[in-house]
Amino acid sequence: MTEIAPVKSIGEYVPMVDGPDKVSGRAKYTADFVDPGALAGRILRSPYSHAEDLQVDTSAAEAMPGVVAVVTGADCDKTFGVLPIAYTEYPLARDRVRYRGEPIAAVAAVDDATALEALKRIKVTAKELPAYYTIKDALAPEAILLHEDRPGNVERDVFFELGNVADGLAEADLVREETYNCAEVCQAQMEMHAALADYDPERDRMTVHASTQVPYYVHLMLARTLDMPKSKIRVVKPHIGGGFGCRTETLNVELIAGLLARKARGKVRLVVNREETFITHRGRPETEIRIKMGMTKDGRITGVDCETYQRGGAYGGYGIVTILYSGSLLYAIYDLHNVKYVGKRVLTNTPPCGAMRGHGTVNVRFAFESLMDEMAQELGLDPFAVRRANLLEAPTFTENDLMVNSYGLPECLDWIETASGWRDRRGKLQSPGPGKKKGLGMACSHYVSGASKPVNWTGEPHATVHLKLDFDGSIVVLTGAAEIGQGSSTILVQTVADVLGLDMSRVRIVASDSEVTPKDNGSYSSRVTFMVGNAALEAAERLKGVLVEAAARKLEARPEDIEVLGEVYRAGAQDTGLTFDEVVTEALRDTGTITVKGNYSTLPESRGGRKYRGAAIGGSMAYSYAAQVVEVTVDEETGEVAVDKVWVAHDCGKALNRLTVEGQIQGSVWMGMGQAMSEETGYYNGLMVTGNMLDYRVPTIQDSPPIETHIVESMDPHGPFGAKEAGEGSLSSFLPALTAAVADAIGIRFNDLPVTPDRVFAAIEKRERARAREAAKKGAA
Amino acid sequence: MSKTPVKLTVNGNPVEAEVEPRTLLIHFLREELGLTGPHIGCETSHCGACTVDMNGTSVKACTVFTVQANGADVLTVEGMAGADGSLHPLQEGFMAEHGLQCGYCTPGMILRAYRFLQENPNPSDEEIRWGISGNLCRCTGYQNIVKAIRYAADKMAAAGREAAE
Amino acid sequence: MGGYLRPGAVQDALEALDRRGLTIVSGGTDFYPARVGQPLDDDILDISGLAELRGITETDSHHVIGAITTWTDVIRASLPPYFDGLKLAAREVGGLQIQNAGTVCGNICNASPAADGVPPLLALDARVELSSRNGVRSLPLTEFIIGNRKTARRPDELVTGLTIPKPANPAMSGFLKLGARRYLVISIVMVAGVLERAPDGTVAAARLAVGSCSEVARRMLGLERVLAGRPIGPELGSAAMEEHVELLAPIDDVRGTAEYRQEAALTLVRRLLRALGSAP
Repeated sequence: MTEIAPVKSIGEYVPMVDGPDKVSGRAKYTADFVDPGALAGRILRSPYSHAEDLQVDTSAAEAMPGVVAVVTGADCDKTFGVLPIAYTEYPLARDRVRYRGEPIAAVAAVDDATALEALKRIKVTAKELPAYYTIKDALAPEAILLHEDRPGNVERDVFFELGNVADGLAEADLVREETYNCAEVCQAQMEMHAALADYDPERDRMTVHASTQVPYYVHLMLARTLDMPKSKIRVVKPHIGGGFGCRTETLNVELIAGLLARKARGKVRLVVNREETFITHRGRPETEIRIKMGMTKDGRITGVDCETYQRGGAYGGYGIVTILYSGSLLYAIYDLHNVKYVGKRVLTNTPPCGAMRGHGTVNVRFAFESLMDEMAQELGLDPFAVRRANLLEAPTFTENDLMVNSYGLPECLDWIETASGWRDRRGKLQSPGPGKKKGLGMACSHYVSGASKPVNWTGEPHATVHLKLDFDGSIVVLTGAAEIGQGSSTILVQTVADVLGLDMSRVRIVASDSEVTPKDNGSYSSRVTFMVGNAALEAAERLKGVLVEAAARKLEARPEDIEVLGEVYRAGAQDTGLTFDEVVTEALRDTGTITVKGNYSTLPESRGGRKYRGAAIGGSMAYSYAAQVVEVTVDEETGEVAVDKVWVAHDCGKALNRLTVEGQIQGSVWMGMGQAMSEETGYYNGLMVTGNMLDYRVPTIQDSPPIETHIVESMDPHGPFGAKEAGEGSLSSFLPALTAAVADAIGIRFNDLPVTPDRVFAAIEKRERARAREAAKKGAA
Repeated sequence: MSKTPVKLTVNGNPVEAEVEPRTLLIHFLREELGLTGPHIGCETSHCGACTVDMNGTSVKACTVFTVQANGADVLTVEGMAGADGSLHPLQEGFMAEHGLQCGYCTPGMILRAYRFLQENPNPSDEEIRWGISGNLCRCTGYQNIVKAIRYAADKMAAAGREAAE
Repeated sequence: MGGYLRPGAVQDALEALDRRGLTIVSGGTDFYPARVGQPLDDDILDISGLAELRGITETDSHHVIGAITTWTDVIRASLPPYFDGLKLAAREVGGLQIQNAGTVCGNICNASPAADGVPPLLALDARVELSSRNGVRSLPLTEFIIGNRKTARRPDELVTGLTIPKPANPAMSGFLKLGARRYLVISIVMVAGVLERAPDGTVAAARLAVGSCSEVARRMLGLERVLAGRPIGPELGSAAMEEHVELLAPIDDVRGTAEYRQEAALTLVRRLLRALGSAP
């Protein structure tokens, strides 16, 4: 007889539970709801970058046969946004447009061709205003305001000084200051934005399927912009083709679909094209950073003075949070005491930026690590030594009151140093051919495990999970957590199955349908595993309690004597026990179908401090840590940089699913590579000129190196099973590690991203010219 | 304008339809036949999410008029599983090796890899990377996609050896 | 009539073109991408059914690439080594799926400054055959492509193929491309070249072309003259000088500055010559 044992899935390599749907074509993404009864929606977009007195004449379009509804700004006078203090956008522009491509009108017609033709018949006039495409132009004293209530075209000014920076710098043996520029990038997720809105005129109800990361926000904003009670709205999130942050905010696409459906009194399918998806944007802003750092001879950082400007685009979006994160997350990775931060989020006539993967941290981390590395070099210190000289000791609270209870950065450093052969190989790599040089670089990064203070502070728990156990012995996890490809549904199924010792096949999951599943704050800032995972853990423990009680009743034993072996519950080793189905039958007797609930709320002490305005941003229950080594080959004759290999270690606490954790780490590193080396949005007078998958250059498989991953498990005391963030934290260290590797190879450090061949080449040429001048001078002397 | 009759085989099933001749194959598959496995990811022929197999070659279904598929044998991801519902080794491989996250590019990846392995049953990793260069993925960084295809190649080779014995 | 035509014989296609202007499509790889967000309402002449125009044929003096010959057809064809450059370029075209559908002639008819096929075809001295109801004419490729997305094709004409003369001497060829990512990229610079070897081991003739650096890809006639008569060896690379790439007059754009393009072109030309010179 085989030993009966509970089935464990936590900590294993577990394929995703929705894999069978995704490999068979059964998985439905929003645009896959092909319904002959649905009208086709299309959006007319602004040809102006900045204009007022917008006049929209839709009469010719409305008169077209086959056109069922036309909506404009006149149909909705409610603003929307993501932060309750910054609802600044209209779904369709009213009177004023602020970026080229902003929606002005939309049509629902019997088919796509009719809708497209109708767009051509809408007449738009406006009075053009001066448009500002750069931080400098928008901040110029004579610039007119994009928004009357945002003086100086600044969405948010942040300032804090903790400790005393002047004293700190005075203490230093070396003080250096550098400026950095990171180009605007965006998510470029594979699925274009889409929404399917179905209005039921008899019941005055609206059902919207949307390609969103946060169905809850879409729900709130639909109610607001449609002026409908929340109870009349249902939001369903189908399969999602990637998000990376651009779908954290409610987008105008889903709201316009709702407006069209209500006006058409029917169903409207609105799938925007790739260029429109790029223009809808919500990517990472172009960022200018000036940073000054003081360091002692042994590499200890004595003071940091950082100034950050972000070109935020035409609307607030997440801007306030982004500019705050950039300051607050200077902390919680190294032991810093004297820090001054000035941040400005600037409004410009470009598409609005948002919360892209690694939200707020990536560009400042690039600057910080770059300067640290450069100063280490000047002081003759190894890049590893300078990081080790500044480590935190957990548990601790940082100077800005961030709570750090687990800290695996030292182990991350140890592993990448060994795995990459750093000590033996750095500075000794052979040139692979004429004109080519190799180099190694390293850097560190970190990220939050969910924001401890949610955007909408309602007093509810941060997460709620329901479990349904029915007569058939199946367990259904009901959650609002949005599976967007990151594997959240798999983690929740594993969590429940593991607690109960059951095979995962007993557990099903229904996610993100507001009619059925409990509300969730959504998939952003790497909150799901930590918060929803903890809620699922609590729910599963409660269900286990119910089952143990039932087993004890049936076996006439005390609950504390019941042994839970997954498919068998028994009172001691001699007992043959009850099968799971028998326990379920007993548990359901008298009560019927069982539903239990698990909640999770963050600890108040994790919610950041009050030392400056906005200090709550950055507060999290736990922080992940990552370090990586990047190996490059630089072709000095063409300026091409090739990444040959990456070694990355990531401290995610307990890795609940090693397969998906590794996938997240690889994906993060790789996305960092895109930003560092080739990705960049481009505009010509406000017109996006990179709005396609050819000109917006995400790395192809030919560009993509092998990434060796290592998981460090620093076991967070509050994480579910000790787990914390896994899907964002290793992105930002790629950028400075790459430029450090290039510097190691050719002696030139790049402060501006992306490091494209033309930039590398120009820098080499400049150096060669300078050398030639030097040589000529010496010759003359 | 007038519609043109087409006859083709899709996933082994005969299909007859009248189509507006400028209808692209991707729209025909998705909207007329309800085969929404092949996705539209870029509309500019770069991403490969719409890849299907047509007469033994991989094509991006956004570059083919449906009428050009007249008489053709078309395979989409919906036709990859065996008659008994058993998954193709590539489908298994993408799940087991985590060669997918959001899954949006997966049907195109699988279909491209399917033809690639027919042409090169025992590829090196380098050859796999060349073979699927026309397909973009934004989640994985590709490493596990290479592993997934390697998994399938190994499994198919083993099945081939068994059959030979 | 109108809308969509898919003739089975060239004569029928020419008659249709004689009646009215039509959008000619074969592989369709650039058709939909150029029309995103617009109704697909062009009147189309689909020449993919003209089986007689598919494939590469050989005469005593030429190779002929039929109008609907795909990139994959080129890659798979057994061809002499001076086609290697064209084959390398074929592998750079938009991924395997696009190579399976897209045609060599379609690539030149699109006349993009960054068309991968044009530099190697220039280096092969290709001529373009144009047919209409009124007859056939043949133009050197240099005269066929007259500007950014402009060709000398009249609306009533169909490009039926490309003729490539056989070199007088044994010849080899190559192709190099530089982009801001390694694949699926509009190149910053491409370089293609054919070297003919005289019996005494010197360059009997050299033909080099650079793409992406000017509105139309260009032959480097000055450098070709310099190379003629030199002994074949890796040192051929040093024959290329800045003056040779100056005629390219590239522009600044999102993919790189003019100065960079010129420098990179020179680097690539040198590398190509070095490689061709070192080949056995």
